[in-house]
Amino acid sequence: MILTTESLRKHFGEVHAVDDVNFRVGEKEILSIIGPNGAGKTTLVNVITGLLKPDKGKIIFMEKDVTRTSIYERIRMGLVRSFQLVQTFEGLSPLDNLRVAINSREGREGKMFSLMERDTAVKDEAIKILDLFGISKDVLPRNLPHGDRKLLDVATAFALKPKLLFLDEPTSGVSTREKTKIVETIVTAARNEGLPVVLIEHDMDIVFRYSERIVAIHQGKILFEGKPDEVRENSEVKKVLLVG
Amino acid sequence: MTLVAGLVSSFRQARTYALVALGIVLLAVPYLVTDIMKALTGNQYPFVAVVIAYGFIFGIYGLAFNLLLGYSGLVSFGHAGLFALGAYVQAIMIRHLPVQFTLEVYVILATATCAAVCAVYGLLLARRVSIFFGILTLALGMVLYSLFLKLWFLTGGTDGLRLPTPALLGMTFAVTKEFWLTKIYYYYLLAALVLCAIVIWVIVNSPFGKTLQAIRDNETRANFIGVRVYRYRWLAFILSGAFTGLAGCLWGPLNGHVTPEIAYWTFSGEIVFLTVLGGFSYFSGPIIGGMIFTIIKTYAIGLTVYWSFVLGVILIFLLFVMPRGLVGGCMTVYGKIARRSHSRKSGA
Repeated sequence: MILTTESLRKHFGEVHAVDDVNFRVGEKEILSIIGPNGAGKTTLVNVITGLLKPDKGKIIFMEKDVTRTSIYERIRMGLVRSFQLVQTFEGLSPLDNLRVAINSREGREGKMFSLMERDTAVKDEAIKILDLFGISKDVLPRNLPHGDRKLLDVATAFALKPKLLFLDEPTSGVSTREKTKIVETIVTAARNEGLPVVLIEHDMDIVFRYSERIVAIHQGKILFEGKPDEVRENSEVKKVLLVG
Repeated sequence: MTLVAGLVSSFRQARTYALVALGIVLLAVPYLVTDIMKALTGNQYPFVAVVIAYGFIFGIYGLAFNLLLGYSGLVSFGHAGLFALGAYVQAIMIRHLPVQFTLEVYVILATATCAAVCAVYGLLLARRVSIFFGILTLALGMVLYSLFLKLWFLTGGTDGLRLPTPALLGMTFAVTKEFWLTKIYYYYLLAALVLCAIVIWVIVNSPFGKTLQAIRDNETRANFIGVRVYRYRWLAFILSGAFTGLAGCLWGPLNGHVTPEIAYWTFSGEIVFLTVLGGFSYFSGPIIGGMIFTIIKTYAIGLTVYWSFVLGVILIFLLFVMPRGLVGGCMTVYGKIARRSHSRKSGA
């Protein structure tokens, strides 16, 4: 297991967003988290990636206890995410978005007396990733189609050479035609790198087509987890998802 | 080697041609307004050179300020205090020490002092943004103002301190004050502006500069690519404060005199204004803004008692017509002209 949580808990007053969750991700696994809105999927990811502090429980990543570590530490260890509401550097070109991430990965983000344009290795790597995801280099994020903006968010996460990648609704708000392109690109790239990916997804077609394992969450708890066929047959999951 | 190559390639941009033309004019000004004007019209206007020299200082100040505003997205209302501190370091040393040094010594000490103040105060600031950052910097400026006012045995209180003509690079000149100001210190300040502009240009085009801009655009995302946001904000604050102190120290000999008013928060308001006037999303914006603002303010004061009002109206008008600042406005016009001539060429 590359990541496990032990009795992870995050309550917001009466709302039990994450309720004693024992979540695990295997090496090289493509995993989907599903559940109705408000089930606590994003909160779970927020706690695991360090945006929120858990009330109780532990998070073990690559056999280290990261429950109390900073976001900075987790990123350095390779625990990376993208966002449900697209988060990009709006004033920077896609090329620069990626270059900043690569510089950070290499520990070069603080270099003051060298010109970024001269760093061809970083530029080449950034262009390679942009080409892989099919994103234009110069168009500012706000002028990109929504699907490309989401891809930019994901590409930035990829540029960090993560060891585990959480993608929060990477296809939400994206046209059906673009959805397949996005997930196909991500999953292929991940499989090539042997990178485990956790997808939060609402689109069941995508979930069943690409996931090796599915975790269904409801009201802060893991309702059921298993292979796509097992999940498809499970009556409780069907009830929750049809209602929610 | 690579640094020079980078600078050289930027010279190929159109914008730089305009700046070079401007540079040539600026080099000629001291002689244009005295000897040449005298030959043509019988009158001299050395004051014009002095005003432009003030403009150079505010250009440096604007660049320093824009490190925070344009590149880090942080508005400081306390920079006047740091500017004044730069001048006071020099003035206090001259007043209380038996020995006078060449200007460069004071500049280094002033810059270091401001950097140190920012390093310490910045620990408090780095975790705050927007309004809180603004208020805390305002507090810093006003504390400095109070110190300059109250520590009269050190700073001369409301009377302030005199700043005599310093030695430049160890050299003194047996010339009139007017000559020194318009034909010697003028060029010294122009060189200082060019030097500071080069250094700051490298900084904002470095990985560090891009990281600052990333933090400005999206703090959360910056965190999630492993950037320690607080640390870079802190560094930006120190750099900005250091160059501000440098500008203040250079301002001292030009003004001849420093008083606590310079540290007052309304003066901080002016620096925000001139940076926005020039265009804070362009590197050269603050330089142009600094010079134009100085010129407008100086002549407005000479025109009418209601100069503040005139200044305000002019500036509001300019901001409506050119919301991206003067440099932004010029870029837009240039872009339109370029597009029109291109479409004409292609037979539209």
